[in-house]
Amino acid sequence: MTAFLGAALVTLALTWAAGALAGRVLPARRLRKSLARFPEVIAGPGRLAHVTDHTPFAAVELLYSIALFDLAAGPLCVSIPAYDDHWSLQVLSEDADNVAWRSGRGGEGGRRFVLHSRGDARAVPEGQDVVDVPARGVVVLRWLVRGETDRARVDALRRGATITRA
Amino acid sequence: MTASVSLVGGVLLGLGAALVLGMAAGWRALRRHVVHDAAGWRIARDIGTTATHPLVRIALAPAYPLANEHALYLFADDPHDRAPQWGALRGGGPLFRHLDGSRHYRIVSDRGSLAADWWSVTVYDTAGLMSGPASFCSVLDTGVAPAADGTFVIDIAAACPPGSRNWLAVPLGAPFLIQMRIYGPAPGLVLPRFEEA
Repeated sequence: MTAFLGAALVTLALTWAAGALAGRVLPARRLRKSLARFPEVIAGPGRLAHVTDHTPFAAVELLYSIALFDLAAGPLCVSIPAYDDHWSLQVLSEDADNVAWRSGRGGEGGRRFVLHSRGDARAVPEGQDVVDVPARGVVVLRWLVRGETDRARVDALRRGATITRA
Repeated sequence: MTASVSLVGGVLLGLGAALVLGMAAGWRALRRHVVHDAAGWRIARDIGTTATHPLVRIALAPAYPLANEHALYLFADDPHDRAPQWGALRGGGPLFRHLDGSRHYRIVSDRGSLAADWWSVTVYDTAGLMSGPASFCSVLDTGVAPAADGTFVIDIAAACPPGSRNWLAVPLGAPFLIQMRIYGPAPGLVLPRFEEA
């Protein structure tokens, strides 16, 4: 009886743990798989890919700019040009968890955000919008496009966004 | 009972218990993360965070790898079948029932504009975005033509209903999905209602 119950409990615990692990691993794998469609993204951290086609259930009205990032060498600065409509910056962990969000509309002179690794003692420039994030993850910029006739203008504008060492 | 029989029996019991408890956990997760709204929507809540249940994370990952917790994702609820799409928990499709392309549906706002930064309504077929001009399958808030009193109706049907100010086309007789995205929802947001005409 002891062996029977012990085996049952161990099996239950291991199966439950496997399910919890799958809940972390599978979304992360799916994220990497979706990003693998964009050679510029997988070419290396810190390279922005300005996506022109959509994933199957993406928003038609949004243009996406995506980059992997790695803060091992220090903070990174994400600069976005001034845009007269809605924009957003989303930071995802490697496990596809939402870890940070900034959004707005307009903004003279554009906006700058410093991605800073949690626990990193290195200083960041004064007066910057510091976004505390894990050491590695994904940055997603979204740009709202109002009408197909405006898509080319917004596409050209967003290509002015950069990721540089802070 | 020999030791080996005990172990095998114990393993089988453990697997069975995990299955039953897992299904119960999945049901609770669906009820927590997928909320039925009185206005006829299923709303995905608290997704894309460490608090999201693993089963829901797995189900959403294929279609929404960049799931955003700062937008409200609404899926039109099939008025004729409100059961969860259990197959989605096995990675077998979206969490929500497809709608019927032979029917006429409507999104109705009795209050005019919505309290949000921006919003849109998009129709998808079973594989995702439909081919053709984006204006046929999606409408942005500023693209909606209101009535004289500021209220609006968006018709979703295979053919444009007579007198319709806003029409999204769907394939005749084919299954499809409707998703409404609301970015920056304000505390006083009142959702439009989704219904079958």
